[in-house]
Amino acid sequence: MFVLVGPSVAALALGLLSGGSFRGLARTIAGWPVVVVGIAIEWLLAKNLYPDSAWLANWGHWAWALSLAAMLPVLLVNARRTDGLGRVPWLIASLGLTLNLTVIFTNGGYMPVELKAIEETHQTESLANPTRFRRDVLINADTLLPLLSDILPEPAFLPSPKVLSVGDVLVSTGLASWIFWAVRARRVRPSDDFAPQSGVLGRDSQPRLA
Amino acid sequence: MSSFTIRAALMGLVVLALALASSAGAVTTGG
Repeated sequence: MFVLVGPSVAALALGLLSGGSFRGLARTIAGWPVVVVGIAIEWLLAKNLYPDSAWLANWGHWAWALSLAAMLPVLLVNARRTDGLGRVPWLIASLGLTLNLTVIFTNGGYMPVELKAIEETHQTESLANPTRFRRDVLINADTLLPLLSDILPEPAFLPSPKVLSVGDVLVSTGLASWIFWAVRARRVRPSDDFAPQSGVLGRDSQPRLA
Repeated sequence: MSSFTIRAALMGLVVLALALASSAGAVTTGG
């Protein structure tokens, strides 16, 4: 998780230290309700509230894959409605998510993960006690696109280290770059605070820049 | 704290949530 969130926090700090404004983040993220629903679904799946559910065992990974896929239009719409350099971070994140989705959908809705990386992040105990719902499978000879799989272990000294993919790194880099860009860019006018929205992904929800 | 600052904080959280919701990092404990 540190590699996913840490760069964004660092980008915020760097942006502020270099003269940016926290209020730059007030730009509306198009499709934010989709993000809230998506993170809620992933959280509920991760909590594994119904470990004996046959439905979750058979279809839970697809629910996770679809919630992941729902983030792609969010990223693309935000790229479309942003001008100039501000578009690049969204496109980087979109590329990362596309790579993740590609490897997941070509491997039956599961994210392949490297055993060695699991061991390096001290998660082998969970392998010995698997729950019925899983969203990842170990890489084997039949795995497609293993280089796009979870093969990058976070450093073991970090709290709760995880194993990441190239796509994850791109997503994290892209969104951290957007935070830096937003903080450093021109401020959003307070008069645009709660601009009317034409829909979840509507262009009209974008406040005008001062 | 102005509503504008609160809005910035909320959108910052949305971006962090988007990073997590778009990630396929291995969490082997069922999630």
